[in-house]
Amino acid sequence: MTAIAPRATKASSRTVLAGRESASPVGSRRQPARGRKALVGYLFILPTMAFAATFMYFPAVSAVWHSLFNWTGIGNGTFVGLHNFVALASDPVMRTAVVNVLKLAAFAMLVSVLVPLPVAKLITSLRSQRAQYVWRVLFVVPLVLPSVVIYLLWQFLYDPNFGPINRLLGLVHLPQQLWLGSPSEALYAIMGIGFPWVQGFALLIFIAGIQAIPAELTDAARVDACGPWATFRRIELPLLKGQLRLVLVLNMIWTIQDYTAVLILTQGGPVNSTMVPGMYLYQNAFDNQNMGYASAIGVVMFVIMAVITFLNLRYMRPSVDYSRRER
Amino acid sequence: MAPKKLSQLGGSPTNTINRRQFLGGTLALGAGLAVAGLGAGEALGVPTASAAGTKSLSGTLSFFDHQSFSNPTGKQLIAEYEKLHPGVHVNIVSAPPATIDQYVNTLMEGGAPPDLFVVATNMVPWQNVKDNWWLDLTPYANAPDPYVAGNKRWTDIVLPGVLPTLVFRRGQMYSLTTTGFDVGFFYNKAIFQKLKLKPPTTWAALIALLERVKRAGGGYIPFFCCLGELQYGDQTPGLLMILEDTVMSRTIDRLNPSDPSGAVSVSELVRGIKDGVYSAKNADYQECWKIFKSLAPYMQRGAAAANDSALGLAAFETGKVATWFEGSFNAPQITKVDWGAFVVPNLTKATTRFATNAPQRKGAYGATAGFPFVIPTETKKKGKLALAVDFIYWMSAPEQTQRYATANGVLDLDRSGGNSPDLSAFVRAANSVSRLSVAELALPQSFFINRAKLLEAYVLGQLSLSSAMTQMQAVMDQAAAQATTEFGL
Repeated sequence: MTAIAPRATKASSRTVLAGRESASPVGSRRQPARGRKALVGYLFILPTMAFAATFMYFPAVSAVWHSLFNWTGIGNGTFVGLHNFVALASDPVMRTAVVNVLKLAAFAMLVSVLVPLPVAKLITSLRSQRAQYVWRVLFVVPLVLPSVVIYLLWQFLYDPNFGPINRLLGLVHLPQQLWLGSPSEALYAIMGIGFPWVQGFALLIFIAGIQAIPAELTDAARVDACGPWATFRRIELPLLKGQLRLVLVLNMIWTIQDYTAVLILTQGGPVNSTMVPGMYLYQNAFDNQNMGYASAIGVVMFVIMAVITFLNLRYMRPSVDYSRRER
Repeated sequence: MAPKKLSQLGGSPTNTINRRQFLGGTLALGAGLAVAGLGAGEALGVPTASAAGTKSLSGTLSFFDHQSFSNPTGKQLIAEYEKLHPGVHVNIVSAPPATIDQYVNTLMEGGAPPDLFVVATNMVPWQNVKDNWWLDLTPYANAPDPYVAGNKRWTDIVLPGVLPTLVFRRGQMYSLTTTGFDVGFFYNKAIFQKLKLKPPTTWAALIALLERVKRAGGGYIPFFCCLGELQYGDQTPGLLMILEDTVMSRTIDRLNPSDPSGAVSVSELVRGIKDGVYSAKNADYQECWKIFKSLAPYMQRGAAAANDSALGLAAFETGKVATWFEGSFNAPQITKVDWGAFVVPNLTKATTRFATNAPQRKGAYGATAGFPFVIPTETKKKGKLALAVDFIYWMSAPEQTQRYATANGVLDLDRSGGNSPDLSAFVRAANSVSRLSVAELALPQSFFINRAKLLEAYVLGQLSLSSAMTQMQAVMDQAAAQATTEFGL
């Protein structure tokens, strides 16, 4: 039982304060000194903030501003108000692009959990630490490859005439596909890139999450005759909600923003079947010299991502936290 | 001192002069006029024999070379020019590993561009004509090139069929070049020999040839084309432009081209669009698309997946492709296949009712692409114009043009004919460019790109002809409106 300190009264507070003021001349300089320290701190972060303002915030604000203009990227452009957004709302290509990116995002979110999580569980279940390390490295090594290299490799794999996938299909007497050359197949071909979808980044996050679960919880479950699947489902999975949320949100953001695969492999074709907002933005900005319209696309993408991220964070809070101790 | 009267110049007191005096005076007057003319020429910025081709030039020429002088031949050329003009230093401004056109815009918008540019296509100066970024080089095109013996006008250096591809709007030339490229059919000589085929001279013969290759089996691909090429200036849509020249011959006449070559200018095309003379609703326009689509049964599987000439090259090099429609710049890269080339065959009445007996043009690009030289207006303000123009003149000489073209995989389009015989089909194409090509290439890039997309959809069967034409008409109308604003038509 700790001694309870006497509650300070106003009178005693004033006395203490007065005593402090009269007893120590340093106290009178404590406020200005604190202010000086704060000023120094601000000065240190000023260069970084200046760079951030110039290269991150200013372009974003500029994009919002120019979305209100008919602008080729040169000069000032003509103010058109919300005309670009109105045109965007009735643009069939943009509609197709949004639908496509939502399909891609849904698929990416699904495979970012369904594959790396079981793989992470399997790796962490290995008794040998060395074996865990080896498997972890093997799955993470592909991260160092530039994505362009991977896409070009898949372009070769998907070649309808000379690619290995069609050759394999031919060998086993299965019908060969057009892959990136077919409007009905191209989007799914792009989804297939990266098979078997063991994302190194998600894998590392899940491994870290699983390893952070207190061992006594799983031990207690084992004592209570809980099988591995029940342990995973009822104890480990709830505790991984934070990691799940992170992986889902990041994959969603990356997929919505990313258009590298489309740019390299299909440029939005055939017949706009793989068009995504990022690619459409690029085409409008640099092929059609329509920077105002491209900026409007960017603003719309930002709003969509902001809404989805907010909803995700709002409704994906972990409901269980076994790490809190009662006082 | 008061000026002497003519009678006081040693002549007779009766105000007449003798023959010697007359001749002397005439010669002096002529010399004075020549000197004055030279001075005036310099003042106008038109380089004259006194400056060009001599060692009097000096200064630093900053040069955005579009990476075309970064090879050993290019560096050698720069060194030779500097040796020729000891007071001159050529400072290469490197291109970044990104979209070069955007970089060019940034340089120009920044207000301190290099003195001389090599650009990818003539569209670069044309699209910014209202910004007054680029100098009208027409006076220099009409001036003699001091580095070509006996030359009276620079335009006499290039092949006559190439000149229209340098002309924009109202006869202005914003670029000068003696190089370019064009499209045609590469063919595999081994396959042709095996199947006893010959390069076709008519479209009907081409279809028959492709049919024979298809029936022969053996994994042969009768016709490879990059149907997925959707960028401005890509090669496959060039076939459509070539077909237009023949099929739409009567329409072209109605567009009333003022150029003696018969080439339609962008202003004439825009007027034609607005008047409905050049229209997707017209039967002759639609006929071009149908003829293009007649190649579809012979195309490689998944033709839309081929969106880059590198993929076509890889396919051709397998030895399984009988014919491949592509640009001449691919020729130096073909190493595994013994190849030949032929131009787009003639259209006859057997193929289309619109065929005529008039000569049919075979090219789509000519000098519109292939490293044209352009000069910013800032160069004149900086006093570097003579130097920039002199460099262009020097590069236009046949010796330099041939080496530069060979090193960069483009065609040598001057009259001295410095190309390999293998490229003769492409040179023929570049020297007879479709009369509609340049005008269509001068329209805003969205016209070319959207047309390529619609063509792809139509050939794949995703769009009916009527749907494609409805959308194409909208593309035409939008391009015409945009061109009117941007080019001040």
